[in-house]
Amino acid sequence: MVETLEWGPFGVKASTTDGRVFRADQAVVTLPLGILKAGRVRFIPELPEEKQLAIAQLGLADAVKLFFHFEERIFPEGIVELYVPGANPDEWWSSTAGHGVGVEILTALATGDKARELLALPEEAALKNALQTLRQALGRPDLTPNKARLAHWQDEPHILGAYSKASVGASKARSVLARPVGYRLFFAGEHTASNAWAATVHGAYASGRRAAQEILALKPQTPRQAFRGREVRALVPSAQS
Amino acid sequence: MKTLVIGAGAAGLAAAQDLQKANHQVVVLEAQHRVGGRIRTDRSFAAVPIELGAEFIHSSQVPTYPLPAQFGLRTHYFNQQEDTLVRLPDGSLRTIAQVGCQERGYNNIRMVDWPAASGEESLAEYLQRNQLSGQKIPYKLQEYISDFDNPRRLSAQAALEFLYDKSAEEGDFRILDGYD
Repeated sequence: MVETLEWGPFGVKASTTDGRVFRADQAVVTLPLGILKAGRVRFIPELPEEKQLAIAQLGLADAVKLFFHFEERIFPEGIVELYVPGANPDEWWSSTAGHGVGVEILTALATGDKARELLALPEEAALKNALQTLRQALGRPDLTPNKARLAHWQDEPHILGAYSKASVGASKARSVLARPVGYRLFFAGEHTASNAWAATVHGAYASGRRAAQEILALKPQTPRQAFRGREVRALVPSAQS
Repeated sequence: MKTLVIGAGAAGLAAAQDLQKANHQVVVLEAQHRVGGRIRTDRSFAAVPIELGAEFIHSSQVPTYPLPAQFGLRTHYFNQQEDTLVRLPDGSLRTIAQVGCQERGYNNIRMVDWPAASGEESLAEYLQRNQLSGQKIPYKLQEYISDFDNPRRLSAQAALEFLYDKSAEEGDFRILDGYD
């Protein structure tokens, strides 16, 4: 993994934990918010203060997905999703819908306090509690899956969290995180998408394309007036050639 | 021009693809032994794939919507109205189409006049100030709350920016063959 990322007028230089060095004119940093928050990659020099503040302000959602495999269909015909206000988990859907199979996998999502509550338990107990919610919601105390598991991202060493969340006071943080730094570092990832698109694959995808466009705008054929000020020109070697 | 792309998730791969198409030299660095980031399809749990990470394409209004068809992948549409049940306080189950927010239903979210957020207030403060609770909250906002956190901890402004987006006007598409 990348351990340090040096940036400056010379370009960028990434050094990995296994001792390899990669140099380029610029970098697109798509490190997950959890990795940025944990400071796992050292930027040399450090990122501007506004970026560091935004990294701290923007929340990281606690989230856990739970999967229950049943030998029979559970949801009524034509139903694919169930919302149980106040319950834990409160959001359930069928991950077999549209497959035309006789079994059913119900997937549940819990976030925030609910996720923390479940993740504090051993996996088996968390699954049992969640199943109890489903039984109550559907009025089917007999419901018994033949297989169950859960998944979360908070302990994945190269991810460290599910997705960003716009905490109170952080409505501008994502747009700050999306800004390039010194025409050397460009930023993408779900946490750099707009508040409308963040925390999703389409947000991540669109942010990657946006970062590519920002870099392509630095190309030599770009009219010089696109770069304002001497400092900027000095940082774009290809624009001088 | 040479670019390092750090991370081979959806963002990094999209950036790398566009740069490569423009004849840039691109090196993608990935810490794990797989690409995809927080997209991770599991095929060992059951005969049907499950998604340990991202699972849906959120409406036909987003740039990833055309991709499954381009790769010959099948999707299933969750309309989140007739096909979604909500459990009411009396314990009965009704579809969102039957009991969902009529006055500010998510199909006409953009037509209703949602009041603006006041500064950096929380979503809980916003909902209380505007007397929005229970069935007055459209399903897409309920889902936003379920997907993130307690409204006390969420920015009202950011939630409204989501709610006013085109992508919040429709249901979700699930990729039957797996997101990866």
